[in-house]
Amino acid sequence: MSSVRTAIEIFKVLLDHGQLDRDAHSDLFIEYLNSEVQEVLSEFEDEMECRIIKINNTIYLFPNHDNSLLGFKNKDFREWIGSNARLSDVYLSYYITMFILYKFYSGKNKNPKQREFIRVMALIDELDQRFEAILNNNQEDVIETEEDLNINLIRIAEVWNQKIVYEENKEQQSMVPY
Amino acid sequence: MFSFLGGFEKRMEIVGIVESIVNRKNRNMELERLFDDNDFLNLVFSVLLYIMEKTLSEDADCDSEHILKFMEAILPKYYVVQLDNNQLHQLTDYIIKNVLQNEGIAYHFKAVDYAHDARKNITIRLIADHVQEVNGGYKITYALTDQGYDFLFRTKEVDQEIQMTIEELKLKELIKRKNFKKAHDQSRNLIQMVRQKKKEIQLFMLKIKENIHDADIGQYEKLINSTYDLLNEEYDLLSEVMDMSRKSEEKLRLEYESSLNLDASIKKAQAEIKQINYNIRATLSEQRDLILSRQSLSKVYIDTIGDSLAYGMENRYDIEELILKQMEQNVEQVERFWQLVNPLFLPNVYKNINIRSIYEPQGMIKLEEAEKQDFIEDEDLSEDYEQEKIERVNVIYVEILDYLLRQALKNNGACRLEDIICSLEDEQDLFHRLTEERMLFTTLLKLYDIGVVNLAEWRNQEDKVVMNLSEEFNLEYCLYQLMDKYDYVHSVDKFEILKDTDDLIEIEVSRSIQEDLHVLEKIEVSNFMIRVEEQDEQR
Repeated sequence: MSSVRTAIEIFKVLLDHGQLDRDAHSDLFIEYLNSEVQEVLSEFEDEMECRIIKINNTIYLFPNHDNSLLGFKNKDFREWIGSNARLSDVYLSYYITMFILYKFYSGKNKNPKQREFIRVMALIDELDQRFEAILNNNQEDVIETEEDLNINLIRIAEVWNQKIVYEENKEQQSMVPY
Repeated sequence: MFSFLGGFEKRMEIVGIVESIVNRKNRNMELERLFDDNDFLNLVFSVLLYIMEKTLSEDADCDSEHILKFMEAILPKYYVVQLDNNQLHQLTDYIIKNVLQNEGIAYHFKAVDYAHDARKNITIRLIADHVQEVNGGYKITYALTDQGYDFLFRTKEVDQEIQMTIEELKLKELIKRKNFKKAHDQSRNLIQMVRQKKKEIQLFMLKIKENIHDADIGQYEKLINSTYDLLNEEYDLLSEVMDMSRKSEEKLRLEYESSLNLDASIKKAQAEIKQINYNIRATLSEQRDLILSRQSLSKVYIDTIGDSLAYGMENRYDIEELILKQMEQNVEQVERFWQLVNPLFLPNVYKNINIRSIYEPQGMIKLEEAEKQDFIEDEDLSEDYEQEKIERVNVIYVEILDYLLRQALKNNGACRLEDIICSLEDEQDLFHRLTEERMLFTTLLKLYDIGVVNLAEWRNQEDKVVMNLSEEFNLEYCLYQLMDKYDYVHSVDKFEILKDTDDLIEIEVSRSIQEDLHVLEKIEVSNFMIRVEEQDEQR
């Protein structure tokens, strides 16, 4: 099989699943190690604005930051979250993602992985504490941090709180006998 | 009122004819009793048909003897009735004179004529007798009347082909008998019939195009064959008819030549023959068209059948049978069925979350910005505010110019700013309004910049255009407004603001920004001179 054809096949699997596992496609995985195939794939990377990276036994496709074809943009997140989602909701989801990544991979030694799973309730509790801390801190300090890190903290903390209040209200409402 | 009742009396004519035969009075029960149930009626109609056949196809006369022979031939075999010669004569006489001719008395049927709200008397007469002189004696022959023909044609299963043949035979007969008026009508009918056939083919074609399965092959073949046979036959007959009409024409010409008298009847007959010839030609051309449409019918039929077969060869899903029912029976496999419709969807590329985008710098969301949802409305409002402000500012500009001019005119055409401010300070409201955002002073400076304003010239200009207004001082707009509002402006020729002294005047303007917050502005400005020139006669 020509290296171009192999590269296309690999790329097709990546487009379809976002990744190529050694177990599922052992032949393609081995072909990937061929330098000619990698050359073709690197042209794909340039044109499709993405990066193809092999990590251990899996090959991943990472879209570039502003690639709206293969990756998500803020707009996509908004649509994904809901039709009335605002930018602050998107930023909140980013923060939560960051936090989850932190919870899993905050180890500093050879293997940074800290845990195998986290319960959603535990995650919510921890987020509650985080956002409460943000809101209870000296606002000026927080604003300084926001500007330093280019990240919305106060706003997303408020959005988080709004959502919790909403849920509680809902529960209270449902307890009212008809 | 009821359109479907139009021509009702015409329909009733048929009923009247049947009634005249079925509900006869003065029946000869002795003769009629010889026949079973409805056999006598059958015999009567058979005799009618015999008369028609005899007079038309054999082109011969039909007298009572012929009819008698006819009955003699059919009675034993078909009616199982044996009659002696005397009885046969009685029966023949009875059928011809009593049954078909109502003993020579005109038979009338009263039909309702809805169009005229009246009863129409329809005369029924199926056969007519003709007295012929033969070998010094007389012979009575019988022939069908037009009514009789009409009736008999209608009693037959209407088949264009047969009907047409008879129409033509009749035409032939009529031409022979020099009954050209009728022949004329008949030839017109011929055209109508060919056209009807054509229409039939068109309708069938439409049917084929709509749904080939509705049109069965037998029907198609019958139509095609009948058309083809008909046309073959028609051609011969028609050319024969044409021949005859030509001969009749010749005969008429000879008659005319021998008598040298072109009487009205010959003239009429000639005109009618001409018409007949014309109609026959038209029939021929219509028939040619009919052949063509028959061909296109064949083409359409074959094409459509071909298409239909091609469709049939395609493996198409019976959605209900192959998909819906299967889905209902294999609910657990439903997801797989969706693959069937996959080709209908846009490609769905797997999108990956780029972790980096989560850590990208974020634009700071301001609380109020985030809360604002109806941006569009806000924009609208801000535009409205702007427009409102522009209008208000321009009203003030006009007021300023008006005030300056009036003050100058009051003081014989020249006035110092000092005096104007003095009198303005007496009217606090106006003062505040005119000095708002230092508008009075900026206007003065602008007017000073402009120099002499020649109103007379401006008035005479044809193309006075006022540009879109802004917050800026617009001299033309102000002049326009003044001209519109005040008469005195019409007498002003020119005006200018001069600085003829270095004196400065100081003006204090105080205003409140909030309830308890007052601002005092001190403005130093040259003591301008405002000079206004009026038209000569006004001075």
